[in-house]
Amino acid sequence: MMIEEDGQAMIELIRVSKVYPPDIQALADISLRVDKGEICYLTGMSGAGKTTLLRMLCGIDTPDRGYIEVAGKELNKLSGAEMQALRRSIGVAYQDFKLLPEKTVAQNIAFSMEVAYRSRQFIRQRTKKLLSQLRLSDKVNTRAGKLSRGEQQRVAIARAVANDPVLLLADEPTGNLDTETTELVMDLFHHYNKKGTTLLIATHDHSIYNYPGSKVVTIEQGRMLVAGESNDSGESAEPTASIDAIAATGTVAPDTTLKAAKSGHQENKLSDQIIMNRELGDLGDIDLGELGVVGDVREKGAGV
Amino acid sequence: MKFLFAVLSQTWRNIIETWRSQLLSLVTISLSVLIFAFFYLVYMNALHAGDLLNNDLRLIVYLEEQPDHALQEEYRHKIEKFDQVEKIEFVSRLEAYDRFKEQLDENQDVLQEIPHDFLPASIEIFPKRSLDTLSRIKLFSEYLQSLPGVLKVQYGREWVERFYSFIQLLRIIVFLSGALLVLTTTFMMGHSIRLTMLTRKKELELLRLVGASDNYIRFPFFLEGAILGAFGAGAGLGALYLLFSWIQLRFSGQEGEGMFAFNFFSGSAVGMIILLAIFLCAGGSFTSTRKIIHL
Repeated sequence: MMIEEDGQAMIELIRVSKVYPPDIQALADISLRVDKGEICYLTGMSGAGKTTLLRMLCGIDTPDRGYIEVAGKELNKLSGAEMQALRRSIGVAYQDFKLLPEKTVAQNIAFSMEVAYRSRQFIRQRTKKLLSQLRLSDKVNTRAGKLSRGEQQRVAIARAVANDPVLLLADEPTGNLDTETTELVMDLFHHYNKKGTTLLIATHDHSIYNYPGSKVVTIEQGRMLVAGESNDSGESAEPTASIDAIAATGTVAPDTTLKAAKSGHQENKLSDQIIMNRELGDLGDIDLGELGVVGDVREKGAGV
Repeated sequence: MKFLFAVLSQTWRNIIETWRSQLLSLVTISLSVLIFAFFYLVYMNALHAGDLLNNDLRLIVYLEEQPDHALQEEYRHKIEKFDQVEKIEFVSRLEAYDRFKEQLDENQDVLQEIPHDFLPASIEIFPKRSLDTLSRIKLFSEYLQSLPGVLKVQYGREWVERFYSFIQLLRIIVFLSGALLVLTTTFMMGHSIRLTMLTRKKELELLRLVGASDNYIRFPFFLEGAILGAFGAGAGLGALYLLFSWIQLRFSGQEGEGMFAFNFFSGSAVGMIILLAIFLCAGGSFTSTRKIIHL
């Protein structure tokens, strides 16, 4: 099955909620849009809900409520075969790596390419290239179980990108890496991003989400804070205000507007988010004129 | 083509990685096929022997009176009403005397003082040869006995009944060994595949995560079952052939060999048994994968 991409959205989440038994609110009314070719960093403390969100995007978990669309496909409407095809077009670097310890590094990387019926030659060449890029060439025939955590993480990343995914979901991809290797991995991610891969990276490593022009979304206790964006100088945006806080007061705090106005794109993203939530009846009456960006947003046709 | 190649390489990997449990399954399947094929072979040969003996089988119906032409036709009609027969022959008192005289050969002089019509007239019935002839002979004989003017019906009753019981016993054994074959092959294959899948649980989970299709996951197990079925049946039949050859070598030239010539299965029968084993093993593995993989 070919993955059709309608418009620009690669990921679209609308009011997604998930509660794990007995009553652990993993995600609450999360709404997010990641455009095709965009880099989005999902930040927040451990247990904030980042991993849950990624699990839902690759169909491992299902939301209790809300709408999820990936590459133009509404996830809860996909048949088994369609979900399999979608998974083949998505690369996922899991936090726990999900490597097979008894298999060699090469065999682990080959996995995602084999299910896509890539030729042996392609698999061999791609594996060799990736291992070289991640400085693991000497480990090609080493069993994955014999590698250090950092090396295992790199193998998991290599497997995730091996199949030229349209979307790459990475859960704490640099959690076990030193600064130099982190840079290596991020270079690889950006290389694939330039080739058209959309990146959604869950991390609490501040050092990696200062890439200019990328979106930064913060999740806290299952709730999404307002999305920000790294500026051109590479300075990462801090989360500006909680959607819930805005909803509760009905207005946006002056300093929030001020912070939002610091970045050109950030205004749009913030208002985009508010309009989306407003349309869904979440925010009540907010004077968007205060933000001074209503016209731009409407012209863009932002929101859902 | 790529799918086939992927499936073949996965299957090969499965077999290599779990060769111990595969070997155990192979031995079990071979033994099951050997047991079933052995009894089936005995049964087939017994039927063949029975068929040969049928050539000489006939029922002799002794009559009270010599039947005239009309009565002969009536008897013929009543006999054919019960069952189709190969041949019906009426033997008059005089013909019976002549036959008897001929049989006595050099001792014919003992008949000098005896009237030529002392033997009763009879009807010789040659039943049609079919696999269940023996089972019907008894019924046929009882029917003939009930016809008017019949003195006695004679055939090798004791022998026929014993042979019939033997064939019945063989049928039951073949049926039971067939059931054993079905149960062991499907159970062993199911068990073996379940074991393989449990040892590869993580790998199967990962396959699902990277988007492997149902067929990509299931087909190698299905093929693995079929391969084990083919090799297991081949090994079982091979062992039976060795046993058969040994028996032939051991008992060749002994008394009765000509009467009970023991033959091995025809090529088509061998093919059918192998196909049956393939079908059963593939079915067993298919059921296991369907139960375990919730896709």
